Amino acid sequence: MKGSAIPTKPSPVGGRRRWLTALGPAARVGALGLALFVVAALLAPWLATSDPLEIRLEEQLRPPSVDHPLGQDGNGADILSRLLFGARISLSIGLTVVLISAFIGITVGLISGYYGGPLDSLLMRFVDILLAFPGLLLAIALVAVLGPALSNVVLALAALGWVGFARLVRGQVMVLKERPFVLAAQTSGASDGRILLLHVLPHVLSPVLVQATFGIAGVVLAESSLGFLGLGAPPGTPSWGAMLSEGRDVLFIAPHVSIFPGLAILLLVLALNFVGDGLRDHLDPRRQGLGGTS
Amino acid sequence: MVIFILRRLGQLLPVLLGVVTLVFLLLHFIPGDPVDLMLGEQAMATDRQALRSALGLDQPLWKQYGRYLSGLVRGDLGLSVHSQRSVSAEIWSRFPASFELMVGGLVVALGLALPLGTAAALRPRSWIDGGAMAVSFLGVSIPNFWLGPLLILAFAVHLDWLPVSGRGTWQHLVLPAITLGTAMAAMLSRLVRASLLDALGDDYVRTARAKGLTASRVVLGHALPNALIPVVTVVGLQIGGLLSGAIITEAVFAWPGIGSLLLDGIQSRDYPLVQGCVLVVALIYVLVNLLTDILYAWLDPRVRLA
Amino acid sequence: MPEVVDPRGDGTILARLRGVEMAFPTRGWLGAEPPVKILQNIDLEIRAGESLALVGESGGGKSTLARLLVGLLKATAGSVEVMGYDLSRLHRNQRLPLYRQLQMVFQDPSGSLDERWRGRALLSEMRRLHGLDAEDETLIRLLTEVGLSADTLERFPHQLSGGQRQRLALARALAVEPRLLIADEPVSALDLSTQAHILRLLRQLQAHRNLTLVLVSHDLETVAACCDRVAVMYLGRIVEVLPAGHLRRARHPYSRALLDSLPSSRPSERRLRQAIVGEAPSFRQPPPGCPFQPRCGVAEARCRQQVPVLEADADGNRLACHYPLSS
Repeated sequence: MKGSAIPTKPSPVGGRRRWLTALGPAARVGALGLALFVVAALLAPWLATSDPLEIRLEEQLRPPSVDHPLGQDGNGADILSRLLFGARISLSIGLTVVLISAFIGITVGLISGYYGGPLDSLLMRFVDILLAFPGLLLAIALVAVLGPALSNVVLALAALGWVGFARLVRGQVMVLKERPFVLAAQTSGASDGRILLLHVLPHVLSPVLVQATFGIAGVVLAESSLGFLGLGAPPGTPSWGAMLSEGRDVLFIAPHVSIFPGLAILLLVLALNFVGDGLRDHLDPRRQGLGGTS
Repeated sequence: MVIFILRRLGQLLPVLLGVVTLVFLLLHFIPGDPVDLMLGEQAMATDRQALRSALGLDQPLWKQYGRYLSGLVRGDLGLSVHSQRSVSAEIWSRFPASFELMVGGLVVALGLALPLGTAAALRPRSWIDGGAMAVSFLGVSIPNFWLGPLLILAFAVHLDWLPVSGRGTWQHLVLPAITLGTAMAAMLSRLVRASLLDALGDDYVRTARAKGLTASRVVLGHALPNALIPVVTVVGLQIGGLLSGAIITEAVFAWPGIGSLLLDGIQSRDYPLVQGCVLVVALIYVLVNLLTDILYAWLDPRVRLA
Repeated sequence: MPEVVDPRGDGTILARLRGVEMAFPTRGWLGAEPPVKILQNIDLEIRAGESLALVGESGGGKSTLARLLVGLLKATAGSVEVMGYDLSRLHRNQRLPLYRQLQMVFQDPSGSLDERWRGRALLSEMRRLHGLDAEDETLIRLLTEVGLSADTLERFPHQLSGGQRQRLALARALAVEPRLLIADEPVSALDLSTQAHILRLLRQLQAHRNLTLVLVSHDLETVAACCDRVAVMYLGRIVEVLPAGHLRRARHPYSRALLDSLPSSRPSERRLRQAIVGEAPSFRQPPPGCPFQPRCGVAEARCRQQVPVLEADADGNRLACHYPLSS
């Protein structure tokens, strides 16, 4: 074992209290950035200088100015205000998709990993099939047939997102179920549900948390990608993806329309990746590297 | 080895069938009548009926499925609703462009990741390492639908060094390839670094060092080849990211590949075309993964026995 | 409540195994291969109040047998009846009543206690599950019984020493006042002086609580210290069953060889010690005939052809050997 100078298991009591300081500088910067985005999203109605849906065609595509620090878009609406409201959409979609995915994935992973057998084989074959579609392909196809709407984006991304959680949890459960404390729980007479919820689930939550952090980053990217392709929110919605899609048509005459939404996405995704990476190093010092958020 | 390949092929069959079935069912996920969507509300009843029977939608589901499968076996993906050309011919005509872009992206990814990761691993915790890893963080987080336009603005519009979009000369390929390859380069450079650090700690590398070989000899001749074995698998898996990234990159640069074709199909609600593109891309991905597995097993015999 | 009763006989039979076989499916190059039999032809009874040891080298199937006895594994053939329940057909709602009477202690005390649970939670969960009171007073009495102080209630497992953890694991198992306790190598993960303490504790508990004990061990000294009866296992079979006090007079060459590995072996048995030097054969390719024959010093042609059957002798001891040593 290399690099085992770090104690294998930080004590759960002490660890929880000082997790922020233990995260390392990059992750702390990430956490700070993430906090800023969350605050901006929560306070959007108060922070925004003007109505994000305002239409002032006479001021369309104006570059950044004192009144509109990030300029105005094709409808003359203030881009900064739209970005602030867009943060709400991006973060809530990210959170919603990850929550749904995690719930389904954890459930499937627990059952599949714990019981094994034909049910497990069946579920994993299904997972294999979903994984045979690279990256966004299936999401693109699903939104294409379901129609462009934010609810369909959530649906499509969640329909794929649970797979990662299911595989992660299943792998952990397969190891955990042979651990003596789970066997001891079985011989305590507790029901399977109780064992899974009280004795197995708490032990998979750390890696799930890491995966969820990267997952939100992935969903933010995916939502904007779909939006960029015109498959996200309907035009006019202050979603970052939709804003990029609008900016694409005026790239040469008004680059600021697409540059600032893209920058917002980059910064949010970067913050999430920093936090995720820090969490992972903290919770499992042996593994390093970036999660799959491409 | 032969047995390994056969076994792997055997595992592949249910997945392939599942993929095909899912793509077939895609059309049936459409809320409402797909024919209405494709032709619009004002279409003539005769046209509707013609399309409905052309797509086989007037038949029971299992018959449609059978027709779809038997068509597939013959390489027939149906007809495009708009161009009335065969979908497989449309896709085939776009294939060279997509292939070119993929290879370009891969070259960029490996060309950046190998030197960056190696440099970082040779001087861990130095400023080179820190810088390389910061760049890789940035690369993973940068959306390619944003990087592409930025590159266009900088190199095509302001500097006027390279063409804005389209395909043709090698200059046309530069910006799309960079756009596509960056995310993968970022991920791979971290992997190369970690993998190489691992290999550098191994006994045979220490032995080689003890024998007085120079550092670069040790790294290039001994550690790097071993460190690359895990990289191979990840490259295979990341081809998926490349394939789906290519859809966006093609959109940004109006690159006439399968991704653009797919998006055109979505725009014009040409569902047979959409199905065909999705299926072909998924099949390519499955095939690449199979090849990766085989390559990996060949490089690392332990895998075969697992 | 179903219970195996043996009225006015030798005592109640708490567990009865008949023709038990445990086979694990294996995967080879091309799909399934013939399953590997980890246990074969196991016949065994456990009497109320006794303490029975399962001994043998590691990898002989002892732990598998222990897991079968508590229902963590299901036998692939034969019947396992414990506390009157047929474990191969245990219904979901029979689990609580079964584990009220049957408990298990595992080898690795740090692994068998959930590291996120404090002592109080570990003990009270057991009592609450079975509808017993979980007052601190009761829990402290339990802790005292296993030699732990009351403040263990507030401790997480990682704050305890190895011996203390095993005591806590024991308290957890005893929390439901079971009649039968299966202990799988309960001391082998502990240092020597702690081992002695835990073994003494086990013996006290057994006497004090009228507990029936099944102790799995690779260590004959452990066994001699706290058991009445010994079943020697080799390569998935029981080869000899005899009273712990008669261990020195074991008749199976393997039992004798195990004894020899103790420091106090007599010079006359040197020959056998050499005989056991070889590697234990694998379950995948069991030797023909008697499983011990390739390593046995006294094996003859017949041993290579015929598997010896476990038969009871006049004293009620059981032995599976064609050419037993004289006692």
